[in-house]
Amino acid sequence: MEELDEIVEDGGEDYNEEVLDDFHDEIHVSDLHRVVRANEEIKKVIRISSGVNLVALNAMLIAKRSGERSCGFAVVSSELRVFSRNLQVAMADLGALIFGLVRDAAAIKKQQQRRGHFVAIALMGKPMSSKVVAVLACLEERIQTTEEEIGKDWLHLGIQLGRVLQLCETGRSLSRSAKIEAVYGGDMTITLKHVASRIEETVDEIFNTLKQLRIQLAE
Amino acid sequence: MGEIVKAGKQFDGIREGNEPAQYLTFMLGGEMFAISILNIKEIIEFGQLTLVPMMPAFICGVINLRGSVVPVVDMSVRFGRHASEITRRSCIVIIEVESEGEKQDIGVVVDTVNEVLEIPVTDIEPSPSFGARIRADFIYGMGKINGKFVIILSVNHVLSIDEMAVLSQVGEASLEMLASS
Repeated sequence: MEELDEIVEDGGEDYNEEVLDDFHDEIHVSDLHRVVRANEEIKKVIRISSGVNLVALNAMLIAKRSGERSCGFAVVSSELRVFSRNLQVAMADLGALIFGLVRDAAAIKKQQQRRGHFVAIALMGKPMSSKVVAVLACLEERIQTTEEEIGKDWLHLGIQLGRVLQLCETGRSLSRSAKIEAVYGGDMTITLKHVASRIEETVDEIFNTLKQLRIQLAE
Repeated sequence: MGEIVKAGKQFDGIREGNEPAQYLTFMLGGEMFAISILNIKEIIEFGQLTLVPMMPAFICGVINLRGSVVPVVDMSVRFGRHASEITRRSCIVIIEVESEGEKQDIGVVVDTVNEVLEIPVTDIEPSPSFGARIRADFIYGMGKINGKFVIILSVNHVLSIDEMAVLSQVGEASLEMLASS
């Protein structure tokens, strides 16, 4: 079995490359593209969400500077800080999930390439062909396990995405509250409105990108 | 640039009495520092810095902040250390410095901003006379946060406009001397 594992790992690279190339078509390239696309979108959302932290801090700073005039805004800004922390945790989870998905997608691509190599060897009828059948069975088992892992990863990603979208709904409510509270800011109203608009823009950007991602995942 | 930097006894953003004040904590070269939030106008992401020739090393350039030119100071260089390494977490903290009745905004590059924390006056110890890795007059006090000390900066000393102007002139003079020799 150890010997089989060794052959499975090194991919039988001594064999004819021309024959092997024909089998590379088997690789599910579209799956990998889907993962890469989702990864890019999630990276974008993580980048925007780190901006929420700054927006929340700025809201807090401006509320403190305004003093009593904007106590309502101060409450919203401290809630926004809580939201920003929760969002960061949720984003870290989302990042870990997509990392796992990328890893599994890359692993399955490699395993499929190896399977291609060994199928080619079996077809060529070389002296080692008898061993190759066992290696192929071992590889098939591994591919199946990785496929199951990928299925689970997509499921978890969908669930986590739903959670983050729900969290963003809270962020949107907070941004609306910030806009309302800004009106009562006296001579600081314009500054508070400016901060409230930035909160709204950032949260909306995250929300729309995540919604787009969910549509992509459902395709 | 010398005009924007003046020194003197100004409001340091730190409250008198026993009322707890709030501080923004940030990281710089792996160390945590704090500034009173009353000095801080806003925090922005690092970016779009315009380099200005003949500036002292601690001024990295200027930024356009909603139409105003704001000089940006590399706090790390101001403390006599290496220039800050810019990462995606780097931020510019816009600080309002008041001198002779005039307010001036100065940007400060920090590695990352952490939290806004309330530190009671009783939890602020006087600055150590030796052993700190920055100038003693830059330190307002040592704030206790979760059993650890954080350096509370005296903004008007760190960003003393007069001192920075003098340093700038000294820099220019030494360059002229080097050129003539």
